[in-house]
This record gives sequence, structure tokens and C-alpha cells, in this order.
Amino acid sequence: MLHMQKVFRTAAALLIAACLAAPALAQSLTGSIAGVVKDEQGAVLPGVTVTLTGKQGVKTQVTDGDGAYRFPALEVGTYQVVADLSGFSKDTRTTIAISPGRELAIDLLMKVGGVSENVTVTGESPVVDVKSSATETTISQSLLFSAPITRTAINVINYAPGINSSSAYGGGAGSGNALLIDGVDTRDPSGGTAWTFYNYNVVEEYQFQGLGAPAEYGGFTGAVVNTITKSGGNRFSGLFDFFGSNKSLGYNNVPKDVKSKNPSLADPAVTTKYADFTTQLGGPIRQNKLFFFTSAQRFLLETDPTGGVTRRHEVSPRLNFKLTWQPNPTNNFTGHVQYDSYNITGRAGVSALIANDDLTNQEDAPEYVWLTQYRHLFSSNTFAEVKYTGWWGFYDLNPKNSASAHFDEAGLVTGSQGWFYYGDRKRDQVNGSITHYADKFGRHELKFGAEFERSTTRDRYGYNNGFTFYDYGGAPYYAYSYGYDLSGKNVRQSLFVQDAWHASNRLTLNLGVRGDMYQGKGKTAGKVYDSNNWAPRLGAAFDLSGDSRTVIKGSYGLYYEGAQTQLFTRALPGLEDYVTYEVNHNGSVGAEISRTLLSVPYKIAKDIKHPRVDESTIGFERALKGDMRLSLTGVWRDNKNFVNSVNPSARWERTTANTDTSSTINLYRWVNRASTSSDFVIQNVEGFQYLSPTGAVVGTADPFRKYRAFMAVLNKRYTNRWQAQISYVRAKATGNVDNGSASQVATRQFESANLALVNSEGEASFTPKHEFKLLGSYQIPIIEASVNAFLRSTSGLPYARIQQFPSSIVGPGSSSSYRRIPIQPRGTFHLPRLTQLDLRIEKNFTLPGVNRIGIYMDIENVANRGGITGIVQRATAVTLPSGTSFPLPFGTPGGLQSPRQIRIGGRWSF
Amino acid sequence: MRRSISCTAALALFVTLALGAAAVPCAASESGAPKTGGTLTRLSPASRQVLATKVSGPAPSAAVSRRNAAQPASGGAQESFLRTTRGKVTLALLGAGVGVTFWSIQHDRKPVKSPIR
Repeated sequence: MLHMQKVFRTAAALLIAACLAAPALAQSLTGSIAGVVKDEQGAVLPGVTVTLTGKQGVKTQVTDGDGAYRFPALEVGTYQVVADLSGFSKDTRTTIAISPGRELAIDLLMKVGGVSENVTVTGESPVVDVKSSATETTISQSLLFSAPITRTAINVINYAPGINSSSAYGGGAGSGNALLIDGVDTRDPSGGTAWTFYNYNVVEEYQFQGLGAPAEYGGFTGAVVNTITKSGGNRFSGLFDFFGSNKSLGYNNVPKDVKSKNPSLADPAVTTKYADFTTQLGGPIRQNKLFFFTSAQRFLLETDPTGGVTRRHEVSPRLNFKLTWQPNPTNNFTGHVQYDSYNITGRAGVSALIANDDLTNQEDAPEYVWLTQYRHLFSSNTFAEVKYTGWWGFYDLNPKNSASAHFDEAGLVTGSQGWFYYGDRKRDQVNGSITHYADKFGRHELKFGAEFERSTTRDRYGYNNGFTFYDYGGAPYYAYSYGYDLSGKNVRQSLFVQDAWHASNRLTLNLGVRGDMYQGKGKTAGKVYDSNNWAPRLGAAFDLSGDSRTVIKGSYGLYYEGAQTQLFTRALPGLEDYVTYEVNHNGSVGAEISRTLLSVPYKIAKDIKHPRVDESTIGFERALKGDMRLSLTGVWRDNKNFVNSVNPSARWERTTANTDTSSTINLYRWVNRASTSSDFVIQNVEGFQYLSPTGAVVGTADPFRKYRAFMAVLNKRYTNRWQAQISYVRAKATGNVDNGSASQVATRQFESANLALVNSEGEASFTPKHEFKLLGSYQIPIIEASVNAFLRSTSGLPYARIQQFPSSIVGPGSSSSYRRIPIQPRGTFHLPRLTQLDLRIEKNFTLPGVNRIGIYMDIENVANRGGITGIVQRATAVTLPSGTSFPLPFGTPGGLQSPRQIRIGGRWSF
Repeated sequence: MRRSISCTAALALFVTLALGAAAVPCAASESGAPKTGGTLTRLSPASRQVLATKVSGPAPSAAVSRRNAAQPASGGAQESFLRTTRGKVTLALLGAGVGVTFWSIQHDRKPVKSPIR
């Protein structure tokens, strides 16, 4: 550890020295335009005035002796470039779309002539980016914004090839992705899931980074979504949007056989009320200097979910206010504040299969998000950015009924959901970076940066009135108590340096390295988690044909997971023991029967290594006729450094048991549980040995997850009235650590030899073998309405049978989580193929001025398919409205696609 | 495993140093680009002739000149936007939207307000 710290500090010092030595700095929420101005004979033209016009003003440059110009650090948006030199006709390029992190090459041609001979051309970026080794996964903004609507900004991630259920390229579902707002990660610092959500209508642009991401992106093992928010400009612009639906626009998609197998699914999920409005205005407070943008949204969704819950009601108001100040051409300040609040009643507090209105909770979750940014241009080749972003919020789930919960021998619950949860979060992050364009040994786009994160979490959980009851024969038999109050703090320092080195006109090398130093602390326990990591990122792109139409590219990189308090909070004080009591005849809680020692904090290994994925890609991209691009990519990803908890003192005895399938299975019995139930260590579990009472090795942990994929993506830009992105992905994700939301760290899988060694290897639960997606739009002639479609079809996800064995087999007093053991490998069975088509039909009317009125209709699940999305893996039962229990054997459908739902909207924008 | 850490660290260090080393000479060559060209020696003869005959004054300096122009991107009518019918309707709608959102913030939380907050 000391060695690593020394290396880290030494490298950091060198890096800082290198940064200081290079008087150049920058970062990428912005893009740039650069080019050369030439005359008709191909000679460069110095002294040409190049004017750039965007929504926040006009900038000019004069070309240098090489005829070159560059506008760096441009806000995302659409621009116009005009080259002007007396004696020549102007060359005007319009509708030049700037994307973050990209330099657009716009070479200008000036012909001898007068002012009246202006040449106007619509500017476009190349179909193929031959200057980046990152796999091109960007979806065009026009496609995204015309797609059938998604609830929040981050959901668009699932439009991308290789990403399903927010599991990107075999990564953790929902927890492995970096979700950036204006360039800064705003995820939950506990488990890495999304916490702050933005109104779809405040988004200016989405930027995807998934495969081959450069060193400036860290803290993820899946993909990156950078959401860039709108800003005000010199022109007043507004948006007033309403989107609604109700029960009459919903349909029933429950197949007959599903109804008979699982009566709790008989009633489809019904949207009874949906009303989402947004009002926005942006514009100048002072022309060219000070701009504002404000947005207000109220989102209302009321549903009658599948199952016993009859009403789920959500209202989420959201306010945004943003100021942009550019006092002079070299300085830019931005401040943005968001307030939102999630107010939800009717959330199921137990399994949706057995929930009813009494077993629900109420969510109270307000939050503030703030973003500030300062950008300074040192020269046309160098700029720096500093950002401070933070958010504060809590997430409370209070039970609808305050009575204690009662579980019976059939697993049914009465009284209430039985528990409460309070989650407190705060996250502060400062990012600073310097970008420098240099011309030496080729062209360089150098970036240096540092990030500092301090984030805190507090999680509180307990049972209603302190106890939950187990009923036997209709009366309370046992009582249980449990709860926790855990506080953790992430302290992270990161450094990165990267270079896009255009070594020649055809070869680009993307080189970079990122260092992340993670520390985990408790409120009183001090530092408990310490891990320093270096992640090289290497890539190359070669313009195969020399005409910027064909490129081969490859990349290799290490990607470390973000800072997460769930990695170490079990090593902090705050957990209560799990205690079982007898219940007296009068129903009061009696004497203690047994106690599971959870209050003893886990230990953490000193030399722990942070979870990561090692990734290699090889790609081929080719521009085709009709503004199309074909991309073929091979992906190899291997997850490493799994962190989990183990018990070095536990001793395991081989045993056998009968399964539900009338076969026998080899299991392990924890023979000394009573004396070792509190001796846990959080560590990298590779090579951990499970020992027998004699000390012989009965099994060794070998955690792994691999992802191999071939992706074929065809992009078609908007021409001839249509645009599309069509993709096919053949993927294989296998391993003995699944890719559920918190698979790597919080499952406690490796505490049990049974969960670590028995049928643990199989297909990953959230990665389909075959995936087809089509996102496209077509403008219908004559009526001039657009039809926008999102079609996705995925092969069935894997599953297997799980059986709950008694404590008498796997160890006395073992919790249910230790006793639920797969008796077949995942992938023994697969769900049916899932296909869904969503449509948006939109008609826009252009009115005098810049006014536009649009009406649109979204149809979710056009075919009203009732595909199965979940399955009963362990036999259970549901309570019917009559109060009787209905058994659900293995293989019973447990969830369905949402039925067809039509939503209608209208908007006025200018 | 210790060995693999060291290898990774060594590789990372190498890349860092290599990039840092590259950055220094690159930056040293930088003099506030675009570089000052000055002379028009790379102009084609035709262009040189055009400039010689049509440019009344001296050719613009090739030195960097970057400034924000004073004029707005879409004309001066914007200043009176809020007095136009569209501006008034916009303000009314925006006021209504913000008002309803504020009302929602106050009103819609009541049923779910957590007792501990």
C-alpha cells in the first residue's frame, strides 16, 4: 500500500509538473471548429476574417500565415461560419452542429469575386470520425429527440446498441454507468445508481461514451451518458409542452394462459392519469453578455399496477434556473440550480406478486442540484475549465400502515410492509481541466485534469414498532428485530492526462492514463477503505482509404468503478443484531431465542483493489452511399477485482440434499456457524479458500464475468426524408458473479460456499444473446408529418431454478439468503424473446416568425404484446383478492411488458 | 498480484511521462496560436494579384484577433420581446407554469412528508 501511495504521489507530482510546464489547458463539455482557408488554386490565405455566429454572440478570428483558424471551447449548438476577405466572395457555412469533445474541421474555399457571389454551404461533420479510436455509439440528436418519449434524460442509454435494462456491455444493471450532468457525475454515492433526474425537455444534447472512452472519463464499468443542459442565448426562445394520457387510452395485454397460471397478473398495469407539462423560457438579460434559462415541470402519473396494489400516485415538480455570463471573450461563467421532489404513494413494499394497498409505502424525496462552471480561454489553442457540482437530497420510504408486519408459513404478509427506510445523500465534486492544441510531431489535443469528490451517505432501516412477526397456525409464533443506521463518506482524488495525437493525416493515437485514489470513511471509524488505481487508455484509428471514409480502430483500457460507500459500510458500526424472540400467549414479545451477530463490523483487507473492467475493442467503420455509415465492432471485456465479504473462520462440510427436480445436489454445511458468525472480511475474493473442519480445501473462489460481443451498426443521416440507426449485437456474457444491480459488492455471495461454488456459473441475467434495435424516423410527404419508431427485439434472458433449503442442511440458523441456492446453472432456461415497437407520430406547423406548433402522439407497445419479463424462480404463492393463497410454482410468469398505451402531446416553441 | 499492480503502475507512469514529455515541447512551441503569419508568401499568384488590386488598405494583420461582436445574433428586435404579444403570452404561460410548479412543491408533498424531516 505504501508502495502504491508512493507511486501515485510521484506520478501525481510528475503529472502536475507536466501540466505546469505546458501552458495549455482545457476540457470537453464543449467542441471546437478549426480549419484552413484556401483559394481556388489551393494556396492558403492568411488574413482572412472568419466570423462565427452562435446563439450567444459572434466571434471573429483572422487566419494565420498558414491560413489556419480555430474556435475552441464552443458551447454545444448550431453555428454559422463566414470567411471574408476583400476581393473574394464570402464562403458561408451554415447549420454547423457542434458536439462536445469533438473538433470539427471546416476548411473554407474563397473564390475571386465580389460580395454578391457569396457561396453558402450547409456544414456537416464527416459521416465517419477517422480521428477517434472510441467506438462510435453516438446516436444523432435529431433521432433521439424525435424518438418516442422516455421518462427521464438518462433512459436514453437503452437506445444504444449493447445496452439493455441499463446494463451496458455486460456491466452491472443500473449501477455501472456514469451519469453525468454537464460533465460531472451525479450518481448515488452509495451504489452508483441514478439519483438526480432531469426533465427531458431541458436537455440540449446527449453524449454517449461507452467503448474505448478516453482517460477523462472514469468511475464506471459500463457506459457514460453526459447530459448537456440548455442555456439561454441572444434570442428569446421558449417551449410550452404538455403530454397526457388516461385510462381510456390504455389496453389489456394479458394472455389467457398467463391469467390462469398467475392470477395476480390478470389485471394489466393501467395508466389512469398522466399529465406532464413543461414551460421554458431562455434569452438575454444583456445582449452578448448575460443570458438566462428557466424551466418548470410538473409530472403526474397515476397507475393501477399489476397485482394487488390498486393505486400508485406520483407527482414530481421540478424547477431549473441557469445563468450564463460572458463578461468578455475569454471568460465564461455558468450557474445552474435544479430543485425537484418525488412524491409517491402506493409503492409496493414487498414483492409485487404479493403486494396490496396495505403493503405499500410513501416516498418523500426532494433534492437540490447545483452546478457552477468557469471557463477561461488563454488563446485559441488553450483553455481551462473548473466546475463545482453538488447535490443534496433524501429518500424516505415510510410504510402506509404503521403496524408490524406478519409473515405466515406460506410466505404471505399482512398488517403492513413492516419496515421503514431513510436515505440521506450529499455529493460535492470539483473538476478542473486544461485543454491544449499543439502542433509538434503532428497535431495534439492534450487534456489534463483533476477531480475531487466528497460524498456522504446515511442509510437507516428498521421494523415498524421494532418487530416483525412470523405467524404459525394463524397466530404470532416468533418475533424478529433488526435495523441499521450506517453513515459513510467517499473521498476521491483523480487525475488524468490524455492526448489525441494526429501523428499523420491518416493515423490518430489516443493515449491517456487516469489515476483514481479512493478512500472510504465512517462518521467515527476513520478511514476503512483505501485503494489507489491507475488506468491506462490506449487507442489508435487509421484512415484506411485516406479519404476520411474508412477507418479501422482499436482500443485497450482499464475502467475502474466509481466511489461507492456500499463497498465498505458494513465495516462501520451501525448495524443491529438480527434477534429472534418467542411470542407470549398474549401476543407480546417474549424471551430472546437466538441472535445473529451483525453489529460486529466487518474487517477490510488492507491491500484491496477497486473493482474494474478490462476492455479491448476492434472496429471498422465505412461511409456508404446516401450518408450512411456501417460500423463493425468486436468487444472483449473482463471484470476484475471483485469485492465481496468472506468468512475465513467458517468451516464447511460436504453434504447432499434432494432437489425439487427429484435429483440430488452437493451442498456445503456451515458447521461452526455459532462461533464464527461475526468473523467477516471485505476483500478481493479471488483465490479465497473454503475449508473443511480438518482444514482441507473444499473449494476456491474464482469470481469472473466475461463479455464478448460483435456489434453491427448502420447509421443513416437525415436525407431523402428518413434517418435511422439499425443495430444488431451478438453478445455472450458469462460468469459466476451476475450483473444485477449490485452484483459485485453488496450481495454477500461469497460468505456462503453454496452461493460461491454451487451452480454459480452461467449466463449473465441482463445480457441477451441477440439484440436488434431500430431507431428511425420518416417524414411523410404531402401531410408533412413524421413517424418515429423504436423497435427492439432481444432474445430471452436466462434463468434457473432456485430452491430454499432448510437450515438443517446448510447450517443451523442460516438466513434465508444463504439458503436460497440455485439448483441449476443460470441459462438452463430462457424467457421468451421480447419484442416491442414504440411509435411517435408528430406534425409541426410553422407559424409567422419563428413560432412552431407541434402535436404528437406516442404509442407504447404498438402491437400490445404481452411478453414475459419476469419468471418465478423459486416456488411461492400469492394472495388473491378473496384472501386465499394461490401457489406459484417454478416457471410461472412473474411479470409482463407494459400494455399498449397512447399518450398525446402538444407544444409551442420559438 | 503485487507484481501486476507494479506493471500497471509502471505502464501508467510511462504513459504519463511520455505525454508530459510530449506536452512540454509542444507547449513550448506554442506562442498563442494561430501563429503569426505576417507575410503572404504562400498566396497563389492569382490571389496575390487580387489583393494587390482590390485591397485599398494594408492587408489585415495575421495576428490573432478574437473578440465578441457587439451585435446580437438575430437583430435588435429582441430587446422589445417582452412587450410583444408573443412576449406577453410567453410570460403569462411561464408564470402559470412556474406558479403551478411552486404550488405542487408545497401541496403535493403533504401526503408523503416523512415524519422525521
